[in-house]
Amino acid sequence: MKLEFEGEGNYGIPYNIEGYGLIANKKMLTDILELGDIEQFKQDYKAASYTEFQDMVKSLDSYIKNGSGEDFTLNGKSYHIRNGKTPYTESLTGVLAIAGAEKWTYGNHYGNFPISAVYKTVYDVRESAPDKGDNLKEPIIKSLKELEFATDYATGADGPIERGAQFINSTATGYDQAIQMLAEKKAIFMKNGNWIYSNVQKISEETAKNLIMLPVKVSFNESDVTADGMTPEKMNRSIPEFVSQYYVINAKATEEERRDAEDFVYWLNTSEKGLDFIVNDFAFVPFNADADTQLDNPLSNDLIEYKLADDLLANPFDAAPASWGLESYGKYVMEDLFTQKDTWTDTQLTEIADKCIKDWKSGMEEW
Amino acid sequence: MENFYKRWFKILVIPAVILFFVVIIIPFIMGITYSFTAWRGSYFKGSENWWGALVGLANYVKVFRSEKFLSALIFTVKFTVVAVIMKNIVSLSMAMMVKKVSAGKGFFRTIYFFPNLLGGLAMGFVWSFIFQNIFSLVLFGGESAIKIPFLCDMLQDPNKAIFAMAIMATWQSAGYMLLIYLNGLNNISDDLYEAASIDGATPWQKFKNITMPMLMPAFTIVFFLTLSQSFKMLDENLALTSGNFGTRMLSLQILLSTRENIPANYGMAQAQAIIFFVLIAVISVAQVTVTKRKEIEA
Repeated sequence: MKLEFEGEGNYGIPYNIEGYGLIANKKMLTDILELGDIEQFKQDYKAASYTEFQDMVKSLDSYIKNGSGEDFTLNGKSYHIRNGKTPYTESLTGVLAIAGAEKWTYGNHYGNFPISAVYKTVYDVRESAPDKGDNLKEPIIKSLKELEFATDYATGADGPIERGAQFINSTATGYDQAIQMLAEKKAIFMKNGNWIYSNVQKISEETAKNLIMLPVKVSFNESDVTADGMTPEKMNRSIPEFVSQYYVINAKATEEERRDAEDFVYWLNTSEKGLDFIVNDFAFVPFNADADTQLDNPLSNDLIEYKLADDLLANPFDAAPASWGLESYGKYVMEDLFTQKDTWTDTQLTEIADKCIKDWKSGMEEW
Repeated sequence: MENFYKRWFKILVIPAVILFFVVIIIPFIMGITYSFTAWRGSYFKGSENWWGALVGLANYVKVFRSEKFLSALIFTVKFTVVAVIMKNIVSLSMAMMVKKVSAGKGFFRTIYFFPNLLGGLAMGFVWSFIFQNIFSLVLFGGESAIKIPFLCDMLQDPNKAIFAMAIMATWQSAGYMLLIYLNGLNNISDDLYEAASIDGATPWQKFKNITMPMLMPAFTIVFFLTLSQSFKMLDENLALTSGNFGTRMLSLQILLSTRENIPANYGMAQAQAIIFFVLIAVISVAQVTVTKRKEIEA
């Protein structure tokens, strides 16, 4: 695996892989649904539709509020909710932990889903004409409706939290607070990445060991998904998984420095000692992980499973116009929608989608 | 000793002059130069050096056409007006109260000065907690008996946020300005007040005709400091609101503008910084000129 390349351009060795999705506490689910193990649930959930996901969330919410909930189906198979709370489930205050005050979690990461419906990869974004951004309209509107649904079932520190001023209170719904709610068993699910394992572990080793990664469900239909080779079904069973950073060697360094850098990166990614650092000390998911790679972080192990099954979405949000996620999509969601308790109207959502597309296209033209 | 300093003045002042040039003058000149180039932070677009990347006034034109820059400028001006008035009224009132205290003056001066020691970021996070939780849920909203909507959720409305930031900025710097005003008040002779009392002047008349005119030198300094501090505010703006809900001030706009292009357009950010400098310089010089004319020698 010595570095070999031809011609001009930038080349890099992946630093690691990271990915995100709907993280769940599997023990919470097996308790509530009275399951022996979680494996069948995982398979059924991956194949389930968005409507089935909604029914599941409503039933779980009813269980949290009343101690009982209606049966629901995933992939056509019926799941029954137990009657009465258990010591494990009695702390639950909501279905989903949402970091309302943390714009990037929905501006960038959630925004990646409507972008993925139109653009397959970062290269697709950069090589497409700005006008292709018009295809984002329906995916953006649907993603906003999905956010509205999710925020109707959000977890708070002492009870469910409603949309409004407090929903974006950085001292109540910040990133750390949302992770804390998942770790303290106040929520069943949270959209986040494999990197939260160590944060959850500091609060509850037991919860950390029970974390699993599930796909975030989207409500797009065939006409909304225009990216090459992409379908709503694939989006619904996949998670965004990508290389976040690369090792690159400075072309302006001396020949000796470049050779030393190349030797180091080669050693780090191929020697036993180097891989030990990557896997155990850094707790990274190696880019060349295979079926034999076993990590302490169960979320990272799930990432390898998705990688091997090719149930992957990319990270086209990384090629969006600079700060589109934070200062366009994320900003309108935080300022116009998350502060509004009432139902979001179609007119509002259409206006926001139009503004997002306008910002996207003008940003792409500048690039 | 004085003769020693007079004799060796030119040698002794060299380190300070070198430092001044290296840290202030040279970067300032480089900044002005780079504002006319396509500088991208670590390279110049289209050239190995700055003279090959000159773009004329293009960066300045982009800045003046930028909606974000103009709205940050308007918000900064509004905030500065409110903050300067609030800081001056509060610090002068506190100085006049402290002057009346017979015992424990030093204690009060110390207490009032403490907030000034707190860093901007830390203070912003503390006040973010106060506005979002104490004000909104405990004191003026939630289950409180006294409900004042204006004082709830102050960070989520641009007009309320001006007052929220002004409250925080006043809390921080009033103690510092108090010391300047107190010094000014102490320099006003009591004879003037005595004479006014004999002539039957009311407290308001004494304040208007003796205190205010005699305090003009202190007012010049305090006004200058509060004006420039308010205009340049960054840490507190970032920590308190992050510029959300239309509360982005000019300093934050300059900082964030480097993240709003790929690759980052540092040439344009530098142009914003130069415009910012010119604005503050013009306003400050104008203010000092006007207030200095009103100063009275005792």
